[in-house]
Amino acid sequence: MAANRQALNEQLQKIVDSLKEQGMLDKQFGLVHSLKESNSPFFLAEIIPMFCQNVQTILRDLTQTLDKEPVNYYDLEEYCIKLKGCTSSIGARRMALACVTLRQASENKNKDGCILALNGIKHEYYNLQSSLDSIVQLERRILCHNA
Amino acid sequence: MGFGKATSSSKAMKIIETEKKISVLIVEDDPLIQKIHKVMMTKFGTEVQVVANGKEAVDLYHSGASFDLILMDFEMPIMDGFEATKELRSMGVTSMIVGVTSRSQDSEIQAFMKSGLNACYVKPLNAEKVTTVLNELKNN
Repeated sequence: MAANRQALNEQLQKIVDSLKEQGMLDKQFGLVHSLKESNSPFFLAEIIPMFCQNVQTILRDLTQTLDKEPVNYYDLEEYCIKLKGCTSSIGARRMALACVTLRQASENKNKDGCILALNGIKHEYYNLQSSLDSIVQLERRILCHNA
Repeated sequence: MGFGKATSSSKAMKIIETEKKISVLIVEDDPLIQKIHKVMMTKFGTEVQVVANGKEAVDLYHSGASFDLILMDFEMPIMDGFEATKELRSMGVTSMIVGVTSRSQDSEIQAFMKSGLNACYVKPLNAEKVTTVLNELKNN
């Protein structure tokens, strides 16, 4: 049992280390991961789905805002800042950096630049999402072993 | 008032021991960030309450509540962090108020500081920033 739990933890750590090497996650994710060790063992398994739901909602709002004519750059910037906040807080480094690019394009009222930047954010998210799903699955299996 | 500067700490999660637990009010509208900040501050041994916007923070103080530390987000519905901080200071609130914002331009940080913050940090909130804030609070 303990050997299985250790193997699962090692598998999870390998995924996280790989994502850090690729620059997709930074040390903030390690901090968030460590928070589960206090009185909240389910913390990471809860936080990641919350993050994904947040991102999907904001990406939808950003897309709809850019689809409208004329583009409301104020709203665009507000959504972008919100997305930057949650991506940086969980440690999704490349997504947070892509938000900076979108914000710059929004400040310049450059619609084509905004579309390109938003596609960049979506690309980073889709790359990260499957790994985050794997992390959640492993976390849930670890929690079952701990029960 | 200047920016808060994060200093490195030898232990990443050093718990600040005080006789009485430091009370912290987290003012943040994003449920994800609320959860991360709440668990983080709890792990640092503080007593934490969370509200979702500046008006709720102001209302708490009007009702007689008080906190050692307020972590104030900037962008919030109903009442943002700038307005909430101004209001709290005009009420005579002397709690340490630390801005925590996703906005990273110097002009934005300076503008937020003018509301009456003691310090302001760009998200993410991490162990080094929390340690700096709690040590400043303990020393004052």
